[in-house]
Amino acid sequence: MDWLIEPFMPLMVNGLIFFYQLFGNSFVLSLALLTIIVRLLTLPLMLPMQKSARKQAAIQPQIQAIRKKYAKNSQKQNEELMKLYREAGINPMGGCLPMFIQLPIMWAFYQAIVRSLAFEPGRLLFGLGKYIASSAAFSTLVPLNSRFLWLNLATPDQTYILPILVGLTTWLQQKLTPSTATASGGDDQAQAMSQSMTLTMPIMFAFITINLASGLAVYFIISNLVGMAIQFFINRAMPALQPAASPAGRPSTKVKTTPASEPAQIGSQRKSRVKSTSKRKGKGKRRRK
Amino acid sequence: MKYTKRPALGLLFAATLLAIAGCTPIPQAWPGLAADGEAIYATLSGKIHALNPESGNEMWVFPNEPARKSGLGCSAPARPESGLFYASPLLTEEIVFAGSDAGKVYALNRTNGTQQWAFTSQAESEGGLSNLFSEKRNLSIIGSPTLDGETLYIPSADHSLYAVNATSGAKQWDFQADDAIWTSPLVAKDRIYVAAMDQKLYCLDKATRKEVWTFDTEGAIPSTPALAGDTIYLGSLAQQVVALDANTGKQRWEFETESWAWATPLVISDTVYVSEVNGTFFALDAKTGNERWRFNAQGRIQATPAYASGTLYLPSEDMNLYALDATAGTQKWQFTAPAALMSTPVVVSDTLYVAGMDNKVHALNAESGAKIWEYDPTPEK
Repeated sequence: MDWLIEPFMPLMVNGLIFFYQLFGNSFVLSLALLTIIVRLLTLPLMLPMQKSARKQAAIQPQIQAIRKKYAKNSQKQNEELMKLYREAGINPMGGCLPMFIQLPIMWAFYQAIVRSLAFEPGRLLFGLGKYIASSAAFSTLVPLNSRFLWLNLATPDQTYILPILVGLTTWLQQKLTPSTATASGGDDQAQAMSQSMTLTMPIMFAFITINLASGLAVYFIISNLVGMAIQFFINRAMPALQPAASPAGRPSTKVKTTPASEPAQIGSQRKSRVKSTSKRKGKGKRRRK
Repeated sequence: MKYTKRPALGLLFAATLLAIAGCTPIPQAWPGLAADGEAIYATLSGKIHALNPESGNEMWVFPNEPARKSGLGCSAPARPESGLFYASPLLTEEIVFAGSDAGKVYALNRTNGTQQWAFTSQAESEGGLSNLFSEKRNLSIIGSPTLDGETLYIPSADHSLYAVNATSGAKQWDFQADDAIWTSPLVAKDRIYVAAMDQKLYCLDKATRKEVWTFDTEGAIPSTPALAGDTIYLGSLAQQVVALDANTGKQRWEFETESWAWATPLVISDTVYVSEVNGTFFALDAKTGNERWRFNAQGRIQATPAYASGTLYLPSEDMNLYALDATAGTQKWQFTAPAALMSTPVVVSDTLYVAGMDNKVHALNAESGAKIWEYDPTPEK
């Protein structure tokens, strides 16, 4: 995976050490500032995901209706879903692609933290040395001061305080982030899964953090806090779309009669599409006659 | 596409992030070698291997326990309880001393590898809740111990230099630096020279253990200083090699490199050989620090070369072992190993031993570079 993160590594490592020097050899302050910068720089990649999630939440009733209607014809189901996405202006990959584009940046940042806190000779030489061994300004700063409060940032936190904070902030951030399943009033299974994820992820993160260098745990906490702040502003600037009304459990033909009160552009687009489908069906019947 | 995509992808994202971060193939250290006419002792990752110098056959392995299974993913590599051995072993007539990253130094019987004693480096703690919130220091033994008479000097990453009884392993005293000590202390006459990652070289009086002088290099010191006559030669991460008066600590000259000067300088006659990690090897006038010649390898140089009969044997990360004429710097031959060479080779009579980052030990003809045998510790023997 080195080839994927390598383009970002020199910038991340040098950035961390530059801010470390700027803040009087404080690794945590450097980490905090760089986290804010990275989160803000990746914001343009995050916004389409948020928009996509909101739009998807709004058309969940139609999605459900299509799924039920074409439960036994997956090809038709996919065609109809794609049509729906197109009309709603949703790129089905729109939510995933930005996330995958962000991955190398986040991995590089993660690796930069690990390598900067190197305390074994091999990791210092091959890890950090690779990026700063020729830098006269940064070489004198090595090894970086890894002390913060009671922590040695290069080793796990034995008090379990950081893992708990990681779990807590991950949970809070998730609660702030709208989920397509819960926002739309999706089916019970989806909601249950969504709720399960909301609990599982913080626990998983907290559990993994127990054995990680506490510098990484500090990074997770800062990243979650910054993420929460960003999410707060996004939620204010981008209010949730109302789900298009489509009574669950009704026969699929009922989709045709989506109420005129259905809000937003998405609803009206869907309505017109369903009408035309209805016309086509009618024509087909006449032909058969 | 399920509409639970976001949390599911988030979970995948998080799990992958953590898994990949833990899988970074960065080695923690490199193998170490020590040899004499009777045996070769190689610290290869987690074990000490004793080999027959003629055949390369394994005589014994310490610890003699099967490899443990890894934990989940690759973030928890298998490691023996004794820890990983970083530095070259230290040999006496009967004992092999080797330190591990578990903070232990083992004294092993040279003949069969049985443990005589073990010393554990341990920063003193008060215990209880205060211990939970106290500073957690790395306890690794990264540098080789140094033996002086009956005393074994052990450098530790917990900032200490320990003096222990070489026969019993009992602690006699310790000296505290401001940061980790990765290098073997240099003991000469009534002085002990200790280089630390706190950028200082400490000169201690052996009898009183008091500081005689300190020299600040402005860069962490990851390698042992070299002493020749009354001059100490010292490389550091401050991209420089300095020559100091061993009695006063006053600087005699300074040679600037373009990257970290990691390796211990090697002094032969009136020439001091130094290197920088970016792959340049220099021959300097020992009195003035003026450059005589330089040799460029294609990879990083971290280890001190071995020297025998006018030839320098220089290992490099580019997988080559270069045999150089010590006077002219011209290349005589090169041996290409299957992996990077980051450890100092050992020459015993006309045979050269070198260990690679793949943990293989190679025996070569020192004159021609022809391979005599190769030892591969895997699969587990």
